[in-house]
Amino acid sequence: MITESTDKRSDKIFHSSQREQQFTVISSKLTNKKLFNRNCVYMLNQMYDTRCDENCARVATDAWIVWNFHKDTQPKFDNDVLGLGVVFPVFRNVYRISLIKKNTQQFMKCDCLHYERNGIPCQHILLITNKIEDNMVKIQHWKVYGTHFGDNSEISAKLMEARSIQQNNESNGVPITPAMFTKIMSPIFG
Amino acid sequence: MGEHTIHSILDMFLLLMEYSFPNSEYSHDVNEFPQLFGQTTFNQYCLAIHVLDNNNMFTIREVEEMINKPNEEYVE
Repeated sequence: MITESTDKRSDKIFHSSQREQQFTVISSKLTNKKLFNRNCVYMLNQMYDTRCDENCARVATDAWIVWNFHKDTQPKFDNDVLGLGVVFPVFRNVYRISLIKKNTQQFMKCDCLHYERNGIPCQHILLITNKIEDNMVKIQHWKVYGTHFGDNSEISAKLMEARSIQQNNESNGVPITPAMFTKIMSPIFG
Repeated sequence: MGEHTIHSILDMFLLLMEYSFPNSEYSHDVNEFPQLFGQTTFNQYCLAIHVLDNNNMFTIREVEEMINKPNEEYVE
């Protein structure tokens, strides 16, 4: 009985993953939007669009700081008779981004840890890269992950390999390609 | 795993670390950095460094006060 319900649930997830492959976010201008799930594309769009609100300074060859002192406002609470909302502490954050090199692979790591939590690069990193590359999004957000992971296909083997590489580099941040690395390091940026 | 193997792995690791970027803090080279991007001004940068030096412990209200009344403590 339990197995049967689990099977049903798995089938449902599999079918919804298959359906997901047919969908796309028409309004998005992201060139590789067809690779990722819709929720992921929405989040990527938001991150990319809000990146320009941030201030940025490069403080070393391999380090940047990013901040936005006008983003958050003091919260307003309903029925705040005692006026506690005024003293509610909300902190301003300045985030550090550093370039990490591990073997031949380069990574960008941001203090906000958005990538570590969600598998999607944050607006702070996108402000520097100005581009969303395929490998910057975790494999779990790819449309093919839901439909092909674990079957006997060649793509499944590739997905498993990619996931294991991802796990090995879990705390290093967002992986970037050598081309992106060269672009970031060149003084033309900005 | 033998002791020799462990040592050779450690050597390889140290070699790799040499080729890696160090975990740098901010403001290394005064002549070259900071490079400010977009609309960022030098005063904003100084304030950001001040906030960072204090481990992001300033509230919205405190930072707003600092923006309105720049303090000599962080503006160079």
